[in-house]
Amino acid sequence: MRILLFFLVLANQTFSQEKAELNFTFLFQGDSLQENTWYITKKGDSLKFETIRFFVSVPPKNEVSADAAHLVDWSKPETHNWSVPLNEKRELVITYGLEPLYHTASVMEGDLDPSLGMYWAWQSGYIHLKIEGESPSANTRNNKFQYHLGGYLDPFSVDKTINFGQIYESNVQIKIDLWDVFRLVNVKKENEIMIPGKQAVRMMKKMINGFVLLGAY
Amino acid sequence: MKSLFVIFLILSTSLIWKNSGDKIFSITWPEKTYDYSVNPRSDSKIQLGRALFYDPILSKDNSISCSSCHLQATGFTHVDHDLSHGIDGRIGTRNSMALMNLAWSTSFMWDGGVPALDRQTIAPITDHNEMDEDLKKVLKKLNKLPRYRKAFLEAFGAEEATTQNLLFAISQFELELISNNSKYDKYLRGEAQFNEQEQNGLQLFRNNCASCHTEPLFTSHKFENNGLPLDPTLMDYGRKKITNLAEDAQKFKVPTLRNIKHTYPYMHDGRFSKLREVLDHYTDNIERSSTLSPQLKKAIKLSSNEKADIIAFLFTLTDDDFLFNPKFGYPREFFSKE
Repeated sequence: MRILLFFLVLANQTFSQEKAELNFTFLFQGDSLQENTWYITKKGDSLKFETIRFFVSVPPKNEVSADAAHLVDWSKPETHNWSVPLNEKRELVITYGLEPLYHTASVMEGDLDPSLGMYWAWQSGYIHLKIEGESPSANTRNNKFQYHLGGYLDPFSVDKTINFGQIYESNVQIKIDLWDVFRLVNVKKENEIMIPGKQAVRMMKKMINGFVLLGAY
Repeated sequence: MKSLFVIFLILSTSLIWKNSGDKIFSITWPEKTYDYSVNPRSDSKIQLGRALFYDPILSKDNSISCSSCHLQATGFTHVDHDLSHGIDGRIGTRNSMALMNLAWSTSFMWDGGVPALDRQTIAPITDHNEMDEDLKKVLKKLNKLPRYRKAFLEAFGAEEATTQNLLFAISQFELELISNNSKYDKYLRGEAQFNEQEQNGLQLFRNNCASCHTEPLFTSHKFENNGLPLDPTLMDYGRKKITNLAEDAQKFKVPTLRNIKHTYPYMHDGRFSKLREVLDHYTDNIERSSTLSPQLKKAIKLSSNEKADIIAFLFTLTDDDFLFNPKFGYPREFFSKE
């Protein structure tokens, strides 16, 4: 009887939680990231942020569902929360960006709508992470820096799937601290990446360091 | 043991004879690659897609439609233009591809940059040198017109056009563009005869060309460098732009040869206007490089008469039922409703 009870409790625990509520917070050195504000990076570059958008998604098994991908947009607070299903082991597994199947499937609804400005028509792939702004370090037109990081074909795919393990609480906070995102980025040297390739892969690796799961509560 | 060897020899010779002789060997069409489960076929979608295909509303200044560069009577390509042009007379960098049997295609565009038919139309709509339009603006324009609201409702159960439904409808029309009733097809089915020249041409074709231009679709769907020198005014490295891999430099998609009589000029940049020039390229002007197609490493040798025979065979790939099928033409009725 006691054993049965144990299994009942276990079963109850296993099925009690199927989803995690993700919350994304944009910061700079721990403080809330502000528009029209100059920040100085570790490398000494002054930056003002205009656009920060990225896809977060659940890795697809065999087919793509529009609900399983979410576009987080710094300028739209309503996109900063996303409810994501846990896998069968109660693990939180998410992808920063979109795994290849999202780029080749026919599903183009919701946040996967190619008209949302996160899509390259000429090579049919979503931009996984877009960061744009202004910096005197960027020797470009109007001192704009533009990182459009994408690519889904090997060996230049930039999506990063992370298994955060079992989650026992439903609220999960992920902070994106731009200080950390730009910790290894030299804006003087690299300020425009608009196509997939080695440079995009390298930059994504640097920037993704700034995406940190703070924990579940 | 010896007798076994003799039997083997007889067997293998007869097999070779069967394949290389003038016998027809039956060719079965492969399964379609398009996944209809996401976008099930329906007549209302096909008709909506047909209207959209012929409507210049898709372009920024409402001047260019899909059919501007993909004309039915010429195999849905832009005849007599080496490079196609878009709005404001802007010139693109490649020859428009012929549209047919797309349900069997595994990738789209000369460089295969588009992996799914449903995503292909985004490229010409948004390309600066083609229609140069924003997808959202296209939807806005369509949603203002009662005839489209009605057509979207019939096709998708919702009046409001969405990006996905717009693309699904165009796909549905394009998937209907099947060319399988040429003299060659009839010959394979035993409904037509080849003359001696056509038959010889078929044989030469099978021996020299068919490993890339695989029957019955006349394409392997692969990307190959066919030994064309790089055009310094275009510097088009083809597939390499998509994959960023040096091994893909100057590789382009193997195009179908169906209806080739009408789809000139030829090659990704339309550099040849006559089939004879194409064959002369393959026999005399292959540029050797590390990415050259393995099939072209050994020189192709064809006499002038043999080339004429191959061309005679290629002309049997013309499918008038396809080129003049009224179902694929301009939908006068749809546009005359208002």
